[in-house]
Amino acid sequence: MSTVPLLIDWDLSRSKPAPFSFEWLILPSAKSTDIKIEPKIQQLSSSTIGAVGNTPFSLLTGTSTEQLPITDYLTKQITDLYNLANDGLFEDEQIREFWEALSALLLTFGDAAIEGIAPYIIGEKASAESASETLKCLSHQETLVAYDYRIWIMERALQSPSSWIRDAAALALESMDDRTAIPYIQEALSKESNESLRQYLQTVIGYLSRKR
Amino acid sequence: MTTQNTPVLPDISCWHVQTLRVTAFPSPSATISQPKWWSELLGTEPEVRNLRPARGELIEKGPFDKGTLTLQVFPLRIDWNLTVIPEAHLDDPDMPHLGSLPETGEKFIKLMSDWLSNASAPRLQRLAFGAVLNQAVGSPEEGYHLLAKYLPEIRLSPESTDFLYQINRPGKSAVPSSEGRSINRLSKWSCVAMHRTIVQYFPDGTPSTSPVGVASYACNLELDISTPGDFKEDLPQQTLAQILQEQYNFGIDIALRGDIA
Repeated sequence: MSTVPLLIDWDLSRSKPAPFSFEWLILPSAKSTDIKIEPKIQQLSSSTIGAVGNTPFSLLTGTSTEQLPITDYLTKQITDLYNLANDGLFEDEQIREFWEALSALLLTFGDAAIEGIAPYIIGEKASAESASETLKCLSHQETLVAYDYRIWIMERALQSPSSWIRDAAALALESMDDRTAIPYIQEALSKESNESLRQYLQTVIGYLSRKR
Repeated sequence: MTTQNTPVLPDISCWHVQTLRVTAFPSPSATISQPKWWSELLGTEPEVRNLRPARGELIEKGPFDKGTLTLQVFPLRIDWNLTVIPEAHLDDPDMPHLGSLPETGEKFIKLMSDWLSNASAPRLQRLAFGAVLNQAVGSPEEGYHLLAKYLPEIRLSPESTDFLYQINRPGKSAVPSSEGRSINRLSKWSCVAMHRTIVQYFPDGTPSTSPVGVASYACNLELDISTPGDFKEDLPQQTLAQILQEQYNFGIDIALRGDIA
């Protein structure tokens, strides 16, 4: 008896289009009598569906905490970007192209772009040089897109093992002019062993403290 | 004396759980490295563990109550999801669910409160409770009729289709140290249908589909109750469990009373 793959599909639809689908993918295994069931549950909501593919999504649902899907497209764009940047950003032209590509991803994908970038900055997949350029670029965006996530990643980068990245994070936070970063810079200062960086962190705290 | 024409709404136990979720957004100062939350909380090892240290990611899965519990740790967020086990419902013509909201919800919240109260819990900037709930109905018309009772400000006729309603009704926290702070109460209402279909692929790749049984219908409610996203400080660690309990109570209130401003 030959086996054929079976897909049992439970479609939960709100008329049209179907926002939910429950799928059970039954694949043939080595023995025809032994059927392997691989469940795949996929759920898309109205607030996340626009983020699928290379499509700008609405930023009006700022209260939602549902996880945005990081698409294969976005993942590939970020991977390609850092593969190139990790080879070295030697010339102004290379840095400009890096900033343009990163800004485009940010404006297109918002928070999801920062979620995709985070492993490179926090997980240390990016070189210190490209991580630093990323932080600088994120602090120079004249938009509120992904503002909270951008601040978060800069504050988180203050804990980086690389003093180069910590320095870039402090510089980026200084550029953001956001006093809410002060407690996190103070915490970083309490752990900082590099004397010149300690002095710079104190300068940034002083600068932000004077901001209203 | 005047009498108000208030619709009688079904008991809270009529809402069946499709998914429950707790999402925690860690503080920038939280260092999360290969956490042992699963074994500390459940006393066992997860059935599935996928660790990607270079990406700062961890995914763990295992059984909990009548469903599958999944822990997903990403740099910017931590999600605990309780979902249905699809294999357990292959022969069930009804919509797969984990049980009634009060029954399943209380077990899940108890588990999550234990996590948040644990000394190893991360410092957080934001916390959210999410749920996807279904209430079975006999037909789309019945679904819209029931939905109209939960949404008294909306005019829904039985022949309505494609209805989707989402709103945030911010509330105020009464938890000590967070008292008076805003809580997002996002709810999303719709009617859903479930069609069960067998899709068979022949050796040449040609698919053949055949429906199984009859369609089933439900009113669908998605809840997303959260602390504000623009709150930039760490949430008080000692009251995290209370904040979550309050969010769950807000969720129960919406499921019980509908969209009431």
